[in-house]
Amino acid sequence: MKHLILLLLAAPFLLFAQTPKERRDNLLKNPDLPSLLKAVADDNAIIRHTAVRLLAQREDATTQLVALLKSTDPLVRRGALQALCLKNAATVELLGDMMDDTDVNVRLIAVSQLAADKPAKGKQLEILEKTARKEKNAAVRDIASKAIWPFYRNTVLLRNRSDWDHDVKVVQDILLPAADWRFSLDENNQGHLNNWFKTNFDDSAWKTIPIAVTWEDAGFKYDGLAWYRKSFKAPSKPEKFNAVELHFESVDECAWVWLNGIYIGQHDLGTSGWQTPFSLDITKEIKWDADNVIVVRILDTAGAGGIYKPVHLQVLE
Amino acid sequence: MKQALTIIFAVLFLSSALPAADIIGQWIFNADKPLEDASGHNHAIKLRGKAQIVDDERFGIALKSTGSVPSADNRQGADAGNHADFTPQGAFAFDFWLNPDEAIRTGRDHFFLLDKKIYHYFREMEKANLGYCCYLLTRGKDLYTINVNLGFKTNSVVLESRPVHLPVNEWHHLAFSYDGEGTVRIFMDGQMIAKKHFADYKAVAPSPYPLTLGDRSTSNYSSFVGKMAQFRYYQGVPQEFGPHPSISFNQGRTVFYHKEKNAAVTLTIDNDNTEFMDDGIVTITVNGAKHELPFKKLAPREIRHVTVPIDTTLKAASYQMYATLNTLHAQSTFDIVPRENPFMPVVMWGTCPAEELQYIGFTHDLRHFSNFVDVWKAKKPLDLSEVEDVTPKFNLLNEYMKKGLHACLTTAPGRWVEQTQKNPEYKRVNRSGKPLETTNGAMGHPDIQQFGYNVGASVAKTYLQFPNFDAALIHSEVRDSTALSFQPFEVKAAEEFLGGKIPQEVRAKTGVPYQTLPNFPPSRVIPDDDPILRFYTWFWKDGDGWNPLHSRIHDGLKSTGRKDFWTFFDPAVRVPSVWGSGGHVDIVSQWTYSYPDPIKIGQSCDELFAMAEGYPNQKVMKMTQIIWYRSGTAPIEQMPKEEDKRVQWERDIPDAKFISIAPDHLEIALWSMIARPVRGIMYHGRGSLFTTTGGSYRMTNPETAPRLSKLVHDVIQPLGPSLLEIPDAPSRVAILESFASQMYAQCGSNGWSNSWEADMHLILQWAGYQPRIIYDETVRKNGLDAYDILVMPNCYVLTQSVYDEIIKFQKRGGIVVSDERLCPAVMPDLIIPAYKRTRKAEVDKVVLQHEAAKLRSALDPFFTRNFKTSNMDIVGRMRRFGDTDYLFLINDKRTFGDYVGQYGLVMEKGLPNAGTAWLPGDGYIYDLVAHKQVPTTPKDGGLSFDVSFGPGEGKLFMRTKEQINARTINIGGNGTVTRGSEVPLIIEIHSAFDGTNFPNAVIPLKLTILDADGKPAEFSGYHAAVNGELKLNLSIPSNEKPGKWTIIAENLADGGKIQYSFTARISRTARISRTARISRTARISRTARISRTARFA
Repeated sequence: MKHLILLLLAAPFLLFAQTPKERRDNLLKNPDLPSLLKAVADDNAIIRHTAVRLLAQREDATTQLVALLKSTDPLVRRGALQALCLKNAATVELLGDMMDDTDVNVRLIAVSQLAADKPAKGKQLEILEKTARKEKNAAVRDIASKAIWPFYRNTVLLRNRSDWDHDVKVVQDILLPAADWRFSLDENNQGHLNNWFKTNFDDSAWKTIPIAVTWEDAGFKYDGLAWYRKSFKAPSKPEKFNAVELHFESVDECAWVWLNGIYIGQHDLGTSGWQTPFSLDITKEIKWDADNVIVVRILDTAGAGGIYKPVHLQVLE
Repeated sequence: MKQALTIIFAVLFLSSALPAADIIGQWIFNADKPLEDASGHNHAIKLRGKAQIVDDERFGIALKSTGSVPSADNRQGADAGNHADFTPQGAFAFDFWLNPDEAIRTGRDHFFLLDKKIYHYFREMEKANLGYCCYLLTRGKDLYTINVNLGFKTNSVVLESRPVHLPVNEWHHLAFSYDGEGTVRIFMDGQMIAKKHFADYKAVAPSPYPLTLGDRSTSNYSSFVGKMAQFRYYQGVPQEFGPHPSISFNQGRTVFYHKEKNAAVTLTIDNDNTEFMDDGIVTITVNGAKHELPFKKLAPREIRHVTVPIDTTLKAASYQMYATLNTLHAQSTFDIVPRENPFMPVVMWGTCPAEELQYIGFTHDLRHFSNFVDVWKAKKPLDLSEVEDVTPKFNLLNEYMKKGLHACLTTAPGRWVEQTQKNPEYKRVNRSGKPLETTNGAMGHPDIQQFGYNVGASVAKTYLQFPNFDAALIHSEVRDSTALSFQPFEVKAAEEFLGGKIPQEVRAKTGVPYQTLPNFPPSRVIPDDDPILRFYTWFWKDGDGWNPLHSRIHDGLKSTGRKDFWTFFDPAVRVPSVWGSGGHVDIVSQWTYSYPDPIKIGQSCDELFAMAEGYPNQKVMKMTQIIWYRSGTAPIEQMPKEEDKRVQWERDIPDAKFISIAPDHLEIALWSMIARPVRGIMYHGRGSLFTTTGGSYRMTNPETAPRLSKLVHDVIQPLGPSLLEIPDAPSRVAILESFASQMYAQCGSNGWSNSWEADMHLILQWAGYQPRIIYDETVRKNGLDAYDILVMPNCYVLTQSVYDEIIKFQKRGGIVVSDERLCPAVMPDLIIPAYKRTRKAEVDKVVLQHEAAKLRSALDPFFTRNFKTSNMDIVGRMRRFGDTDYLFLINDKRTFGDYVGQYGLVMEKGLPNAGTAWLPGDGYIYDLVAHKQVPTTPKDGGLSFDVSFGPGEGKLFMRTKEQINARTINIGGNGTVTRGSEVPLIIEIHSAFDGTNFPNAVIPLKLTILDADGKPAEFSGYHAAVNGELKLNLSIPSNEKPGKWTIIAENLADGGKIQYSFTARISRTARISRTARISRTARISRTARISRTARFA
């Protein structure tokens, strides 16, 4: 009896003396709500996160998870938000609120959830647009930007048309000037929002750079987004032709291209696209015997980048 | 040597007395009458076009032509007219000298030496089958076949010689003869190089065309490019160019291992005669011993190949071998070399002179032995010795065998097809069927697949008789440029696999960004039968054709059944993380640049093990690049403009494009490779290892080669046999490289070891974990039960089955560590934020090590590591055999040195380091490099021991349950060793428990076996005592001289030695000398036992 009393007296002490591994193992064995709510305040982070995960698996813990969005532990907040998203319990408003969280991991969960529902509209679009413009963290901003990126065009080139059963000949091949392209980095992915693709955009404050070399070789040690702009004179309209294309010998590594303010297409093969030549049809967009403005947005994620090979204007028959 | 023989022949030939009456035309270009016919038959010649008579040091005067090209179809050479004398009634012959000019290398692919036929190609019309001609066909640089084409009115016959070398600016003598009875012979420098009998042919048909020397008679002209001299035309065949019965040893394999079975050479008996050769005896004499082979008579012109056995019981040495048959004689040399000890391959990935290979300790270099042109034409496997001159390659393999070196084939038949074959079906095409701009061909085409097999099988047929030709690199770096392709056969294969159409979203080989798919699940968990993912799975495994092609080449190379021959493909993980890279090759390998952090070598190595798990029994080798890209280490544009501010190598070779790896990096990388159970290691970049002239690879660090040599000799050679026997230790920490994520989020290391996934791996290494890389397929196959920690970098997207396994894993207590990019359906237990490197080596290392420290601190309460070290720069990795642990420790403490450190991109200079290491449990620890036992201290339920390192140094510690103690040498044979026979030799190492137990360990051994001359005999060198035991069959050569043999066995764990001696007696027996002693005693007691003590007492 005496021993039993001693044991009972010592029990809380023994419990307190449990190692983190023992506490976590116990939690995994007995994931009842009180234990989990206690464990989200454990001094060991892995135990806290395990507890949030186990809470997420319960049907009856939504309220508690919402409450945990105010936890001082950012990873608990993140876990709680993630759990609510998995339960489809995160409203656009809630996600918008969480975009103001101080922790980037929380905002990443929120923005990923907002971006996943396509196409973005209403409040969701508003939050994403705001994030794309104002978010400081590049990863968060990037997800928002990609979600609302408005430009895509798929045109089939003449030589790839299955209904075109004639040989395609390049009858005029004009190299675009390599020197003095206007160039600007776009570290915050704001260029398209600031109309950098428009013909009348004032690029006079931009630096000049040649093409047919990497931007690193031109003095820009940089990975990320950047824009090129160039005005060039097109030849007079040929008497006979079937198509006109801009032919890029290669860019490193993705490109989005406008001619005279009109989006004409993209070269977006990911990292593997850096050495793949590509062409874009401009039959309808070119202005013959007049100045044309070409604008190229380039994404380079690693190593050298830019329009590192020549660009051609090709008239095809 | 060849040139010398040519000169000797020239002297003999020019001085020989030919029957003058047989010479009908002789154009020797006398200085006074250079165009006259010296035979006295008035067949003066006329020069054609730009052909000239020029001065020549060798012959005084020679006929020179400068070549014809299609754009300027100018005739050259000389015209002897069309005289009846030039139409032989039966036998005839020509001989002449020729000396190619440099310009021949850029000329046509055929060159007429003489012509009275015009049509050297097949045509079914009479005028194409009259007269004769002789021409060269180009087969390579300075390599030609000599062709004789004879017309018989209704058809023609051609005899093409094997390819022969005709170097520029070198005189050689050529001749051909036709006996008027169907037999054509071609000679070069006095040696017959081709002979063929065409049955039922008589005299050649008269030709209306003029005899032209040095060019084709009419357009298209194809003149020889260079000088020709001393033309002679004979009626009849002079003895020199006629039939000769002969015997000769073939030029095949001439080096054999001691005790090799079925060793033999071939003696060719050629009855090149019109009479029978009678029955007789071929007498073979070797080392004074005669061996007779009965010989049955030969019919006229019959050739017989006789197998001559080689006595491989002889001692390792060179032996002269003589063959005699009646008055015919032949002589050859063969060599017996010791059998090889087990060894770890150290491959020079490239071609290298033998002396450089031996200096470093390379075991292999790469060799081009394939023949694409002839095999493609034949559409079947060929014995290449029948279509090309394989003698130089055979000679190389024989020389390599003598030197203990091996050759490794490098073959790329797929690349050859891409570059040479124009069939549009072999090109990759887009969805509209239009060719892509890539040169990467449609390798799945059945023609190419069959060609791959044929190329492999041809090499096997021809060269696999050489045991030291035992490896093959099958293609290299071919998949970087692969591309989606839509040839009808490819679409059909894809649709069969998919059971439907190829998804329209498929545009690039790298997958489809999930953000671009409107209905992609927000959870980012996709079904396993997701069509887009299934397409990419098919494409990367089989669809682009490369992996099946590798398998076909492999199958061809294995077609002769050589079991020890191994094939490999690299860089095998320069692809997304899906099984199948390399096809069925035996070994997958990968090259890696060591900068900025050399332990990253281990990351791609671990990827290889993940890849190899996909094919049964596939193994792993690993390569470290000797070359460093300048851009990643010492950018050329940042080099100081002032020469005095540059370091020495920058002054010496400022424009070096690729520089040498720093020695400390090399050493860390080497230890990172062998800390894993690789089957061999490789290096590429000879030009950055040794001083060479020019090239883009430059030797900029003279300490690199000596360091590699020392490491190979001090570490790889002694420990290699043991390392091959020691498996990996299980790891409870896995890192998932998710194929689904790579295809939907364009991530992945792709074998470059510079991605976030690779940096996460570095974090785990520095944290003291031993991460095992797993693929989606590994999870599906094995689940996650083997792990306690699952690390998930860049795991954006998961398949349902992988997701389910992860949930199961978490439910049983597994801990998920991820970055912020994790698939939202999985809730991690710990997040390490993805890190983007800054190109500042020290900053990056500090950040990643800081993350490692945080991770360790978080996980330590939940997880016990296999080992611990007192500082993160002592990087550990463990392998295990039975209950014995092998702990590799690598000193990764580095700083910026004065080699490339000034640029801040690489900390290339190793620093000394010291600390402690800890292993759980108890036992005894041995330093296998220093060969000594290590003192330990019990601590925290394990053993703690001090360690110290030099810059970049690695160490290997063995922890056994029992102390190693006694060792014995046993020799069988009942005390009598008969010369020429084998006796068992057993080296035993026991544990101290009771002196008889074998340790459950692999223990490296050094054996020194000294023969009667005191020279190292066969099996001297390094071995592995597996489970404490090494068994060999010791062979006393049949021609061994009597005397004392000594065997010394050194245990490389604690350095203990034991020595035995015995005497080989004249009576062809050897007796053990009854001595057994331990060479030294130490505080660790040792005993030596003789198993047959009573017998020898």
